[in-house]
Amino acid sequence: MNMKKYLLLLAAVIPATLWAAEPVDTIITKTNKKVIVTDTAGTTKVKVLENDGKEEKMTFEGHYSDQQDVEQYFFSPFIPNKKKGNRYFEASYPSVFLGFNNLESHCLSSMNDLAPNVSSSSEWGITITTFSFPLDKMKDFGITAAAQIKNVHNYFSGNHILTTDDNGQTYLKEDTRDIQKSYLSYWAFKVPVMLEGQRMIGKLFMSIGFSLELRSGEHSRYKTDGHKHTETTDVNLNHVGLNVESYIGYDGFMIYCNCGLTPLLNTHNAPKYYTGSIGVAFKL
Amino acid sequence: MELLLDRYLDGNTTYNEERLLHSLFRKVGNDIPEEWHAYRALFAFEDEETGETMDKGTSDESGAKIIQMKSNRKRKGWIRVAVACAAAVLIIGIVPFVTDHHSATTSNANIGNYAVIDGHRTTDSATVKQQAMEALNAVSAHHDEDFAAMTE
Amino acid sequence: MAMLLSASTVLAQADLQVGRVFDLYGHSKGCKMVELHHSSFRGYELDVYKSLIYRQYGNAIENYLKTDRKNARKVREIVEDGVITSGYYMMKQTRQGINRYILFRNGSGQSGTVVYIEGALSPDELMKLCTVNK
Repeated sequence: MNMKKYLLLLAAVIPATLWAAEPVDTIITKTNKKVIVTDTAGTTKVKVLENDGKEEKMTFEGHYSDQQDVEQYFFSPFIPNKKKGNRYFEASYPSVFLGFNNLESHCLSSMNDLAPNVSSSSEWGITITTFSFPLDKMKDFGITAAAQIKNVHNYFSGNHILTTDDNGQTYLKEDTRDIQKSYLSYWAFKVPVMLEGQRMIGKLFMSIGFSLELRSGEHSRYKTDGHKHTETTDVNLNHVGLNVESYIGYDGFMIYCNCGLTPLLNTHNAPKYYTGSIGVAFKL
Repeated sequence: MELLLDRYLDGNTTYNEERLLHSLFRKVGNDIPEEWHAYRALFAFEDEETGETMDKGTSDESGAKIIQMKSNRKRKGWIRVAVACAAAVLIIGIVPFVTDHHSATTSNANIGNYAVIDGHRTTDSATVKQQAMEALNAVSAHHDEDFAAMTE
Repeated sequence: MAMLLSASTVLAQADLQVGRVFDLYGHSKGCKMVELHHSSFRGYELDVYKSLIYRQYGNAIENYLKTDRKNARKVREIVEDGVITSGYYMMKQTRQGINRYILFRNGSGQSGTVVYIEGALSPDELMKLCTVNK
């Protein structure tokens, strides 16, 4: 029911004699809203107060006269719109992303600085949920976070297979058989936290930040003679990792890249690998 | 006809040449350039006026010449004023009508549509429209949220 | 022809201070001004559309808009933390059936946007025009 309907309702139920020169307060209470109507010599004032469970706050004030109607809606940017959720600043995380994920020898090195005996690798993932928090009134900047899941396949070149010996040492062994493909795969639950800037009402955006990765489900596998084999499920994977992330995009399309700040494997017992990925992403 | 008209305006025509010019303008009707319509109207008026003058002057040849010379001098100034008035009437009376009619029919034409960006003006329609949408989007951003506050 | 149209626009805004805003700041650095006549936006026909996006001069422009606010028939504003951030004013008609609106949004610092619209659209239609589905 909008403001006009409230006033019509009041006009119907309140006798005309009561629309006197002296101010008369009429209060209508509806669920968590209270509407106070004051009529004073040609001017009708309407206030709406909303109770959020803690305190009563004015969310609307209107003044109606023959000369002018004035309506003001009161908001605090830190109180989300309960009806529709906080959509003041919408995070620009993709629904799905797909890219190259390479193993590099050094932290924050270029995509060409691949570790020995590794070849191009891939990753794909989805975003489960997002969070956002605007930092300014224009909603051009904000802090965003998300929960994502991704799957990574890191391939090794030649006949190399990632294996772990009895001493718990992980290394790349060169197999004498004809290995068609060999890779390390794992799942990761990712939580990026980014600073995002938007223009054109969120259509153009750029973000940079960090992401925390929780890795699991690792397998070292290879394929020979048309059959897939699992070499090991213990590759001294670091189950927690930290990356630096960035996105840039327009509307539902974006390009992302991230670099691992921490090694993928435990460097005491495994080769030193840092992840680096770049890809495209879409917001559906 | 054009040569005769020029000589007439300069006041160099003979009596017979003037008669010939009057006769030509009577005969051609509307088949003359638009800028001569004013002269045709003047000659028609003069036919009426000078017809009386000619009537009075034909009995005396020298008197006719004197009258002709006097009328030539008067005609020069008269013609110029009359042409100027006709031109003014055309501009004041017809141009606004044409302008209004034109603007009423160009409801979607890009008349006066422009954008000024950092002091530089452009009439490129794509740029103008894009800038217009950007501004409209800027003021539209939260209306769906904000003004829905009072609805349920 | 353009002069006649500009003249009619000027006359239509003669009683409004928002016209001064466009005149004073439309050609300034950091500002983007647009003027459209007889154009269509999101299915609505507008006789006049003028907009100004500015990065500075916010205080000065706000003063001009305050003057127009006093003469508006209808005022709708959003107030956040005690500060008016956006809204629109429906001004008095100068031509039968043609409504005049001033829409504005105050940005961070001295930036903001002002839009002036003349057209046959009603306030409800203006709200539909200005509703963006994200």
